[in-house]
Amino acid sequence: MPLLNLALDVRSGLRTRVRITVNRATLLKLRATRQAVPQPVIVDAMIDTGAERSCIDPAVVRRIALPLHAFGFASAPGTNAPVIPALGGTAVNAIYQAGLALIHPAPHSDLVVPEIVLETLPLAQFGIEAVIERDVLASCVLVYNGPTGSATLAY
Amino acid sequence: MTPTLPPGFPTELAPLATEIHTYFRVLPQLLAEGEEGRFAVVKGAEVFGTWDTQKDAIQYGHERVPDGQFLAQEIDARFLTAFGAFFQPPAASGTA
Repeated sequence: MPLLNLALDVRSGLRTRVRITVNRATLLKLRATRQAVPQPVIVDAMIDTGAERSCIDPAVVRRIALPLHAFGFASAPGTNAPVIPALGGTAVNAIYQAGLALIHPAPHSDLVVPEIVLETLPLAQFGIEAVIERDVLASCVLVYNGPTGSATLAY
Repeated sequence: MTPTLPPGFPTELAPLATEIHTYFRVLPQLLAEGEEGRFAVVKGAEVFGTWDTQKDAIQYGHERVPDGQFLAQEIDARFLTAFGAFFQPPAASGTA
C-alpha cells in the first residue's frame, strides 16, 4: 500500500501534484482511430474533504481538450463563478470526463484514477488548478497531523 | 442556428446547447415519471434513455453516439426551478 507523505499548513492547506489526462475510454478511442492523444497536464492541487466531486480550473480543460458531457451545481464562495440567485447563490458549471493520478515520488506508486468526472471551478486565483475531493478519497486513508504539519495518504 | 443558453451557463457548454434545450423540454415529463436522480443521455433532439449512474450513462452515450458529443445529465428538479422559464415555451393564450 503506497503512502504519500504531504506537508500542510493552515494557510495553504494540503497540497500535492496531480496529473490530468484524458479518460481511459477516450484514450482507447483515440488510439484505435490513430488520432493524437493530448499530453497529460501536471497541476498543483489541494486535497479537501468538503465536497463530493473533484474539480479543475477551466484553463486545464483548454490545455487537454477533455470530453464534455454534463453540467452541474457548484457552491464555491470566494471564487468568481457567476452565481444564480434562483439557486440560492450557487453556480452552474461544466462537467468533464478525465483521468487523473496523484503523483507519488516513487516509481509506479501513483494513485491512478483512469475514469473520473470532474467539475470546473475558477481555482487559479488560489494558486491551484485542481481540488481532490471525496470521490477520490473514497479509496484512501487520510491521516491529518496538525501539530506536526504533515499528512499521509494511503491507498 | 445554435440555440442560446440562459445567463449563468458557462460558455463552454455552448456545443451542447441543442442537447440542453432537449433536456429541459423533457425534464418535466422525466420528473413526473419518477426519474429524478437518474441520468438522461441526450443527443440532438432525442433522449436515449436514463441510467442509474453518470458513468453508465456516459458509457452508453459512447456506444450510441458515433461522434461522442452528447449530454449525460442528471435529472434534477432544481434546474427546472431555476431555468424552466427560459426553456419552456410560453402557454398559448386561447381566444374564443
